[in-house]
Amino acid sequence: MFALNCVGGILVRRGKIQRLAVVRRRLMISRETSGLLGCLTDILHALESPATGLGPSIFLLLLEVETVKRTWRVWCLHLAWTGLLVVGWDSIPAGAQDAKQQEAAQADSKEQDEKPATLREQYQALMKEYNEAVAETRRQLQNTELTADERKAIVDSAPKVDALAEKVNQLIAAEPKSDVAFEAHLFLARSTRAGKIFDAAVAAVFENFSDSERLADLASVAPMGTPASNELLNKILEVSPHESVKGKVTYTMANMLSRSEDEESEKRCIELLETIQAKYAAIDAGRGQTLGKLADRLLFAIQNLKVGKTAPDIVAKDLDEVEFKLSDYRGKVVVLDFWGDW
Amino acid sequence: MYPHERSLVKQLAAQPFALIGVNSDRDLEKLRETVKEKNLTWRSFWNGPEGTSGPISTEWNVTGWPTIYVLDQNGVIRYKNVRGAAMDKAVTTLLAEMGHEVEITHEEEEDHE
Repeated sequence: MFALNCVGGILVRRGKIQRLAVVRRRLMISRETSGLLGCLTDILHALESPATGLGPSIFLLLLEVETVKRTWRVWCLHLAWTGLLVVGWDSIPAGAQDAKQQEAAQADSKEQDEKPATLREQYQALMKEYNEAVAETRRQLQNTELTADERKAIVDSAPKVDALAEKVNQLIAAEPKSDVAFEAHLFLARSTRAGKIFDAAVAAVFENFSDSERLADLASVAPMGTPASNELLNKILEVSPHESVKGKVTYTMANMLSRSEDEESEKRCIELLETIQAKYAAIDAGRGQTLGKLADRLLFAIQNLKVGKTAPDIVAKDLDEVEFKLSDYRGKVVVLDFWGDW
Repeated sequence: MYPHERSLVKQLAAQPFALIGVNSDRDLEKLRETVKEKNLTWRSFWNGPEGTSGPISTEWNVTGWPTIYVLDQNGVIRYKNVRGAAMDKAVTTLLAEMGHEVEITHEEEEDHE
């Protein structure tokens, strides 16, 4: 048994915003989940949980292993985990699309006037300084020989998001409606998840970007499933004039509810999905999907794939290209394992 | 993972139990070699050349691998995403419902992944 401290450093892509989300999660890994793939899947599941609200767009993880029992075996895992681990996650938005969005963003900022480039540069410089300081703190904490006091001193001297927020807010005050301001607010909200800085960032987005199609990006800043998140989603629905924003936010709400097991949530979730099918089905949800398609999939999952439902039959070929059916195994207990050797 | 699954399949060979895979590797030839090499004796559906975007995992809304479903003798989904000891417990519980009391113990096996 050993503990895995998954510390921050998750680069998350959402639309044209690329951000570094700081997530801390302590996982106890037992021998049963032996094998790197098993551990990794557990971590990704944990990070994908409603509490983090990150969704499956994680593609880079920085991990730190804290050993409880130091055996050679664990040390090998330690070596394997510590450092940079690149995870190819299936649903990362296509690179081409991202590049296009970035170009568009650059074109936008050029069009506004001469200043935005400077503002962006200043903002990037601030962020670089902050991220480097965060990385340095993390590097120092990787030292397993530290005493509790030393550890505390490092944590105390870590860069503070309050100080960053103050500088960033001063900077963007000149252009509160710029792309940079939007990105900065989202970064601050995501880094804090609650509290004063979070509230101020969310309020600023509503004040300056309520009529922007980008408002949909705000949906993911509060921890999913919390009252704060529900309030945020409802407010976005209320203020946005855009069908695309309303549609996406409705889907986010449905997706969140689909994770609850109670009947009330299920009923509400189905209602929302039916709303999407009726009003927002044609809206582009990225990755070649429409909201209608996503809603169909989620509806099928709720109606057929929950505990207590009869599993849908599978009729397909095995690895020797012989067709068989899942229902051939009625009368037996079946472990259905979606696996891959990668 | 493989050692646990191999051990489970071996120990429950005489029971009304099956481990069924849905494999999402794109390269079927390479996969066949892996199956042979690692002695993966259980039967798998192939999700097709689109890999993780294939038709079975899409219909089942699978977004993470591995994803596990445990079905009872009537094909009803009873557990999701149980692994290791939790998977053993799910399976023995369902077998007990059918009147088959079994105990699963895993020998230490080095993991070659």
